[in-house]
Amino acid sequence: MDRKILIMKKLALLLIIVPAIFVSCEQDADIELPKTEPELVISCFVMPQDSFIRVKVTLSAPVFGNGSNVQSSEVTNATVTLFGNNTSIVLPYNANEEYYKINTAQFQIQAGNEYRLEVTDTEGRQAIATTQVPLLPPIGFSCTVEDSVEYSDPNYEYGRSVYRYSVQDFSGGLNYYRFCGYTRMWNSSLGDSLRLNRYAEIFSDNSADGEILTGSGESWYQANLPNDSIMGYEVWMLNCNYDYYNFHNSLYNNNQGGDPFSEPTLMYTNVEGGLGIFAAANAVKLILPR
Amino acid sequence: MNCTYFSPRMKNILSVTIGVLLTVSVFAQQKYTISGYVREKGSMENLPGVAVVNTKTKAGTITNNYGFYSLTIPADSVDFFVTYVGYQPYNAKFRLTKDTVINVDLAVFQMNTVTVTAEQTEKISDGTQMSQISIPVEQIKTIPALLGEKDVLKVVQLMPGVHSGSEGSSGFYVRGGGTDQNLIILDDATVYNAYHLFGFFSIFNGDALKSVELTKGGFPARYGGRLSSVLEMQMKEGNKQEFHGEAGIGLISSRLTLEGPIIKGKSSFLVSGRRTYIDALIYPFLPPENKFGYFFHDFNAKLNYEINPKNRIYLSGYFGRDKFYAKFNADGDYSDKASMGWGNATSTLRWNHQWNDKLFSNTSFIFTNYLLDIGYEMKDGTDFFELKYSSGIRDFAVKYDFDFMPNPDHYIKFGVISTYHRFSPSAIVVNSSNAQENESKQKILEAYESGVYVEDDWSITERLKVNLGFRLSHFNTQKKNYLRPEPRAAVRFKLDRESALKASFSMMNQYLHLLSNTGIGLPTDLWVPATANVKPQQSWQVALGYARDIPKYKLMLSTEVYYKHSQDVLGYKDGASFLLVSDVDLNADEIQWEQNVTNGQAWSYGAEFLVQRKFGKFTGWVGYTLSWTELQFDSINFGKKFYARYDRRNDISVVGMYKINDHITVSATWVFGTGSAITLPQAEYQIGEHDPAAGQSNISVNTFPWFVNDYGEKNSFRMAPYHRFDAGIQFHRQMKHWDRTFEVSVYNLYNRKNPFFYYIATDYPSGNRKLKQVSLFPLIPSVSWTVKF
Repeated sequence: MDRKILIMKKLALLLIIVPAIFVSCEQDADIELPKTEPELVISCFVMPQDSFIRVKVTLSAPVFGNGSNVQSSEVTNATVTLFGNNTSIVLPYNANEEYYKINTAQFQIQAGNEYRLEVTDTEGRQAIATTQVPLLPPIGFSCTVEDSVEYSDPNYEYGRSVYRYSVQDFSGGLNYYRFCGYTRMWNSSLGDSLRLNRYAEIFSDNSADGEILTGSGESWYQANLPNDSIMGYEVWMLNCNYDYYNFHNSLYNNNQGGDPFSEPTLMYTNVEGGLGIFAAANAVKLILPR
Repeated sequence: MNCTYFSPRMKNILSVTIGVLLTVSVFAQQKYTISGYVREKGSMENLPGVAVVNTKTKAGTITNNYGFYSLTIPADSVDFFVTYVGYQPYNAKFRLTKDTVINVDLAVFQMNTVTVTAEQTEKISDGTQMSQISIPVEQIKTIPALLGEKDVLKVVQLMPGVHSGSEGSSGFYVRGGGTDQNLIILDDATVYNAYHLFGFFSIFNGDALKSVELTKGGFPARYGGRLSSVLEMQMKEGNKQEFHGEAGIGLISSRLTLEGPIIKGKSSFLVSGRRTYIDALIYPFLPPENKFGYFFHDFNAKLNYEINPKNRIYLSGYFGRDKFYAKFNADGDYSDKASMGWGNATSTLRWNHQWNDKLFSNTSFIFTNYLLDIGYEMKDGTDFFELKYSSGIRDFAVKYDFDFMPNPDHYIKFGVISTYHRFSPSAIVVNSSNAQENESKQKILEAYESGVYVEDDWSITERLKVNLGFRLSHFNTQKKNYLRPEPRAAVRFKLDRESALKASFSMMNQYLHLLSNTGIGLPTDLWVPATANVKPQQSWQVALGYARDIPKYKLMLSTEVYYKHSQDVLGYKDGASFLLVSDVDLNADEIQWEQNVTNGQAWSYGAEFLVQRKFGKFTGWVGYTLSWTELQFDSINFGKKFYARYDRRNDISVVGMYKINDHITVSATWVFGTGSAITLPQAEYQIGEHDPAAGQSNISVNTFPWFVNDYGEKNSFRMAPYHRFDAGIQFHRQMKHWDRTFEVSVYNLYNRKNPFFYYIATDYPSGNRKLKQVSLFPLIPSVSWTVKF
């Protein structure tokens, strides 16, 4: 299957090259270029189930510019304000995590409410985004995981986990869901369990309104024995809003850019005056044993 | 007693007088029909669209597609005038006393004979038909062209309201409609892929054509099946008296046309062929391990036979093929070869039957076939791999059309057409040394498309003329039926002798879709039918126009504004592409391309201006179009409106031909167009997915950001404007047995580097990124030599 695609791509390139053989000239484009100034990029996802709210703020690098690359573009001294619940709060920058962060004890995300995020930096840029939290968490979420060890020795183990999940769709209207599955691993140096090897999938109830939606996926896990050990799995089902769904959909589609005949996929953004995403979901979580 | 008021003698005189008066009055209201065929003197080619007028009463009509006319007028003295552009008029004065047949042979107009009279000039303000342009085939031969290849579709693009996609390509857009929304007909047969050489030239050989007519709006009811335009081409029949031919040699291809009688005066033939030879020329210069080449050829043929004056049959056909191939042979065992070919074949059998002097009919049996095939083969020692892909469409159609002319005030057309379509969207065969042969065929789809119509060109008063029509179209596929009414109306109101106001409304349906990624007209475009899941496209269009003739300067002016709304237009979903090869184990019921497309709406509106001069030493036209085309798809650009790639705000064409004397003609063209709307990356940034578990953990977020591009809105970037100047000079010489023309022309005289596409490159060592462009055709001179015998 991949081989076929590869060959088709070869042919596709031939199709483009042959006409170009016909006397083609290359030169710098003689045209005014699009925006050449960096913009604020916000990234924030909120759920009523969260204990912490985190906002990432970076700068975009204009494509046409002076040796610009997208590295070390963190914005560390911006003013990040979250509005909602008839009040507002400023999120301070946490240098360790490189996020603007607060504890939800100070500001609780509530189901059904609308929130607005405003970010202003020291150079006069301002970006604003609003999103609304879905009212209900998903219903009828169930999941099983099938484990199979591929390799095992006293120091190292890795294997496959196959998730099978189902959720009852809300009837009426378009609904969006995301499934996330993690392996829960005990990390002895931290003294805590980590969620790793995330498998995620986003989908909607497009042609199956009100029915039970099912899906499956697989992921790999590995453990450095004997200190680390796989304790089990943690699976999430999120009822996402429109912003959340469109963003993840465009992000996942973005990866397939090899075909010279396909249109570039646009990234979804709901940020005014900038780029990025501010979205929300309402989730349920299940802890599954190994 | 004797009553002597009326003496017997007086009674006699009285009765005779009354008798005569009665007879005369009955005689005066008696109507008779003059009918017949108008042909070109010499060749006896039927002439369509010729004006036949009784100048005494201004009652008139025009000949139909086969040169037939019928004029029913009161018995009286008649001043019978037959006029047609480029021909000397015919005039006869006589007394009409019975049904009369007059067949007229018009002589070609020579410059040094009679001066042009007012009645002779074709008046744009006369017809109800608006939004229609007829492209003079002789002018196609004079306008300078890319690499000397005269091309019908390229000249069509020079008209207002019509523009091309990218540089050099023949695909055209009419009033904001896509390239698949043009109904291209050659002798009643639909042509699906009208291009050679990846879209750079069209398949139509101007030497074989008699007439080319483009309708952009106000579509008469006899046309249906496409939303945006009808390009109707008729092939020449072939000279019925003498044997003639035309041969030409150019840089890209050579062509030969032969025509002549089979039975003098009754039957004739025409054959015309073209082939490129550039591949043969460069083949010896290519390295032995790496050969590649390209060729195309096409062939037109037509036979006709007049069984008797009321019955004629015509058989015409077109066959053409393009092939591109590349071979690679490494040292040792490795070799691979790739090929891509495509071609059209059409064939029409027509029977003209004249029922009486007012009713004429034509029956056509039509066959069309289009096939694309791609092949790839690889050999490496004992390993081998082979891939074959093919896709095509095949049509069988029957068409029955009537022309009924009861009197000069009504010209009624009605008829029916039914087409059987057979689509093979893609069939792939994979064969390799380490696997079984694998065949995967997308489901073959069959569909029936039919239409029944009636239209009347009705002269209500001398000033007011309307064309009212109704078409009912039907489409059947996979047990789903679509039945759609299509009302059509056009009005012409003459303000004075030289000017008219026109208005039109038409509703169109399109049951076939073209899935095209690039919009360039590459043969990779895929024709698919409307299905149970993919609805037909529909549009309605209103247009308003003003036309004016200025006989003093032999000018014709026309200006039109239009508004068109289309629904259920198709587009590829973001990220989808025709190259996503179908899975070998596809479910038999699944139709793969349906998953890749989505439907939306389109709005196009604009204004067109045309000033044209058709006679005299200096001829040509200036056309300007101002237009907008917007699209909206729920699944593209997140449901927001965006400009179509081919949205062209301003489009200007200036064409001029000047006949210096009988031996030398010079011509020039200048075109200008706003750039295409494309999607260009504007900025790069990093962003990651949501990690739900992180919200509950004080440990830092476990998410890996991806590098993504910001493109702005879809199609928000305009390419640089396109403009170019071409010039040519032709030298004619009349020899004893033949005429020869030698032409030198230059394409892109001031060598403008029009961008074909853009890409982003990194400058070393600064690391700066730049936008670079690739242009296709710089200044290209060419020569060609044509002989007519």
